[in-house]
Amino acid sequence: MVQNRSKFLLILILLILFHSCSNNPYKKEDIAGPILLSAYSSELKYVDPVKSYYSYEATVIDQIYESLFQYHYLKRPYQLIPCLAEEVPEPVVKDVMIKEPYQPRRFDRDKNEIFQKRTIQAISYTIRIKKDIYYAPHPSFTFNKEKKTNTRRLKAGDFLYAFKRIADPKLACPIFPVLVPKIVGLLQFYQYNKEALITIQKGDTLESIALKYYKDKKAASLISRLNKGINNKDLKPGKTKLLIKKPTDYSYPVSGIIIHDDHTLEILLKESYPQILYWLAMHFTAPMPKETIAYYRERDLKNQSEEMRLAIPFYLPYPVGTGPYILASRKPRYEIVLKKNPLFRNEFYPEEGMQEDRRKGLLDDAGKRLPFIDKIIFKYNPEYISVWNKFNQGYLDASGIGKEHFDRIIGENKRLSDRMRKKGVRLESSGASDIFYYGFNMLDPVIGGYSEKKRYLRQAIARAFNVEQYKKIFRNRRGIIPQSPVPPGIFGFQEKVESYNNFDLKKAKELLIKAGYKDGIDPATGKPLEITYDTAVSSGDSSASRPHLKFFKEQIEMLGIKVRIAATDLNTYRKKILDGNYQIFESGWLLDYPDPENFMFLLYGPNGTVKHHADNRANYDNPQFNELFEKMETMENTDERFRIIVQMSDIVNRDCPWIYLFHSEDYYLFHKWYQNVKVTDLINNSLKYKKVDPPLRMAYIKKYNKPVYWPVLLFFILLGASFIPAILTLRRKYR
Amino acid sequence: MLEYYINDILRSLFVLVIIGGGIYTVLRMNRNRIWHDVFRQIWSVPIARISFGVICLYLFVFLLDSISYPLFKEVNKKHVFVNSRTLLEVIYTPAREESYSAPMAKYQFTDKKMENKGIHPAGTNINGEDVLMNAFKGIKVAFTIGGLTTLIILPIGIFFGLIAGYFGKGADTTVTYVYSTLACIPEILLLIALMNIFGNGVLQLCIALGITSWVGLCRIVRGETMKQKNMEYVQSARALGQSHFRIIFKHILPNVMHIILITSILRFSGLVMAEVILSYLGLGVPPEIASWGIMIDQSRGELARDPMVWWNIITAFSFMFILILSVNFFGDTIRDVLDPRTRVKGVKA
Repeated sequence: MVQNRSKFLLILILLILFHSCSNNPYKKEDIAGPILLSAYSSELKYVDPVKSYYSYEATVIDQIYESLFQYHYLKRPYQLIPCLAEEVPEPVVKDVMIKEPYQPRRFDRDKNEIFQKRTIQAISYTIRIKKDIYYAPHPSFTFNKEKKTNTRRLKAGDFLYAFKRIADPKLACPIFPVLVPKIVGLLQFYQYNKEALITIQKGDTLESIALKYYKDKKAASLISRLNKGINNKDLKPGKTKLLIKKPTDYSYPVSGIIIHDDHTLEILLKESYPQILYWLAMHFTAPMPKETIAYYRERDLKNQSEEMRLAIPFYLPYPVGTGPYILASRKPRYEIVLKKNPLFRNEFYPEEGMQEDRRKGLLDDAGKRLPFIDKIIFKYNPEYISVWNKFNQGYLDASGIGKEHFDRIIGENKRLSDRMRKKGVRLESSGASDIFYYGFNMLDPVIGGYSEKKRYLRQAIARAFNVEQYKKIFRNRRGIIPQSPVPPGIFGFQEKVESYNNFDLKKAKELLIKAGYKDGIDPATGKPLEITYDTAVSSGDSSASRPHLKFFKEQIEMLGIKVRIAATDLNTYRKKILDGNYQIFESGWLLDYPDPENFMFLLYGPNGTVKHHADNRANYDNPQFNELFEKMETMENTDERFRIIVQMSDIVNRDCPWIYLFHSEDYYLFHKWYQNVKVTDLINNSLKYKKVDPPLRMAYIKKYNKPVYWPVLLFFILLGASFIPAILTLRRKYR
Repeated sequence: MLEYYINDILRSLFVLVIIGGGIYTVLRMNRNRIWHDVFRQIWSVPIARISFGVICLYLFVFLLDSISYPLFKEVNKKHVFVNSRTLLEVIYTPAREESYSAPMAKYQFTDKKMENKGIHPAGTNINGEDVLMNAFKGIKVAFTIGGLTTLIILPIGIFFGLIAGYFGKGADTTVTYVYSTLACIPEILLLIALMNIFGNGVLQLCIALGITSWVGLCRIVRGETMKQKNMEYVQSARALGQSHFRIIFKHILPNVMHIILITSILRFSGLVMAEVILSYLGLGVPPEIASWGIMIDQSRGELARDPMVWWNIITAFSFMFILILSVNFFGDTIRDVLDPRTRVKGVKA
């Protein structure tokens, strides 16, 4: 019996050994089927469209959520086309009667709200929504007889609900500050649901207040926490004011979003803002079914009253949308699997494209039903090197090219190396619509300011920085050096700007003399001028950022100025940025939508980080620029607009709040079985267009994954050899 | 102008005084018969001789890199301080390149031809700096951290160790409690926390390392003191009515000195390695200072490069390896000689 068992064990061990004798990280049926093998490098923090803001999150959730519009997959420059909407609407200026709630709200006998009616002039977008759209099956919906599963038809009300979530103060949607001044009624909704100060009446205790507002005595601790740990003894009737978080009341109407019927939605804007359509193409405005939120609130916040549930931020833990895919499984730091949505509407591959698309075979599938891929597996691969290895083995369908390998893979003339081409790998490159720059803090007394002298100082520093060299050393010569804030591919891009401060050390030194710092010496102290470069060094990327810091320091110090590098942890750095307590910083911006406004707004005065907590980190505030910006913001892409952009670029280059670094240029490698790929950094829902050819993949994997046995053999030989001295010693001892 | 000279002179003097003090102490001890024997015994071990030579070489470079004089340039007929120049920079001034180049290579990675081929025995790094020079400068950081931290540890460790061991009872309980608590916190975690509080910098790093690593020394001194205090010479001193202070510092301290010496030398290598680990975590010395830890941290991405950049890590590693190996060998020999239990037969008395 014992013998039998040990035999059994031996066989079992051998079986396990042989079974795992493969480097395949997937199940066999997965690599053989029409399944996309992809990678992700950062764990998703949010899958709720109202909160998710990072592009790595968008690559997953934008396959699940859909918005009213989307971008044409093939056409460039980017063109908006309808997605959930029937067509892209035109703005109409008209008088509209809106219904606003009274302050305080009034209700009639049947608990229906009474509104005050008022006519305003507004820009109106009337959007018709496609009729036959169903949500992906989910237990939060009731059973639908027609589709024979738990689902529901998409309604216009879901968009209204999504907008209310954007304005929900508890959820802190990142795009709320942009939309609020534009859409009628959104601010009222926000203010109604904001935190409130209440005055204590006689006989009030924390518990009674908790009971009144949250229907839950236990919430007294929440109120106490919100008010610096106040307790019942500190409450003085008539005097003490308590801050409470009101439960968000979703029944409060938004007057600027009108639902005409289940399939018609009207959005009213206070002022002309053509970019609103771009926002309606992003996942923030994706329709959201109320019942799904309620379902997960019920599940995850079980022991709390409904009021409490509405008073704390709650994000959807599982994405539910109308998109081509549904989330099948998700294991943190391991894998994310998306499956085809069985109820996905009829959508077809685009029939038109650019000239070169036909040649590249991107139009071969024109008119076919989407999506092509059944399942997408994202594997967690935080390190680039493992992505690269798996790509070479055929276990990933696409890969970027790290700068470590760039020189070997891409030759001088930006062509793929022969070795890779023989493997059937395809190279695609695309100029990304982004910008990276060093910024000066314009509020700083030394480096900031708008006087001629300060301007010369900044220009001198900008001219002393050799961007070409920077690109050569750190970017493998990739990227385009910006001459204005607008990147290529966006309306308003200029290849050459006269006023650009190009690298010129001699000129820089002259400018420095004009600025009053001859040879970098500060006349006030007689010592070299010292400026501080502020940066956040986290342990993860210190090895990558250190040479950059050094390079910057050495370039600027050519002027005789001293550069001090203040490296702090991320939290301190953020605080510094918010307080305006910095001189020079590095930053970058990737477009939200293809419009020059999305880049120029980084320098718009009322977006200053210190004063207004927005994205203008340089705190640049030039009245002339601001005026032009306000004019340009709402314009269509005309010659006039281009002229204004040129003018704005000149102002920026003269004031020089930034040292431009680069517009990045991305290179991607694709295996030949991965088809219908057009590189883009704007279209996130592109996986539905893509296609894989599994037999090709299988053949490749077989060819390039032949096991190598000699290291194992070598290991055993070495292991054996290491015993020899021991044996010799033993022998000597016994002799 | 004078202030800069004074600054540099003071800094150089500090190092000279410490090293000179060390040499003087050794020479002075050599006059004592017992120590003279000890030194002779150490010297009779070949590996110790070699190690000592290596350490002296390192010390020499450290000395060269520590002695500096200020450089000025003339602006508006005034002399303006630029920076300090060390003797090392005077002796070895490698050319500055654009970016990577392999050891003794003719071309850089950016395909730019170098003006003088083969002038970089260990290649250049991404910023075009000579790797060998960086490794030399790393010696200064390593010795500063090793030395300064030891200077911080010694008084704390010895004082508390002696007190705890000699008085016992309450004093012992308190000291033991404190260091046990410290020893319970994982060292690297404590270091990270301290570095986050103090910020980056060499001095800050030394203080942080000092706080975390006096425990080992204190524990050993305490044990040894407990052993010594029951010896006849202490008892007779007590019988003669000598004060506690006198007994501790006049009688016990010299008798635990050998243990302190051994522990400090062996700990030195640990401190050098701690700097490397912390720099690897991005918490060590500030980014613009060249240190071995930073060089090794840098090579994290470089080893995955194609073509591979191996000279950065290899150079830093061998500099560190040789130093630590020598220190350890030397320390081991001292221990063997001083500790009666491990005294090797072959060593002549």
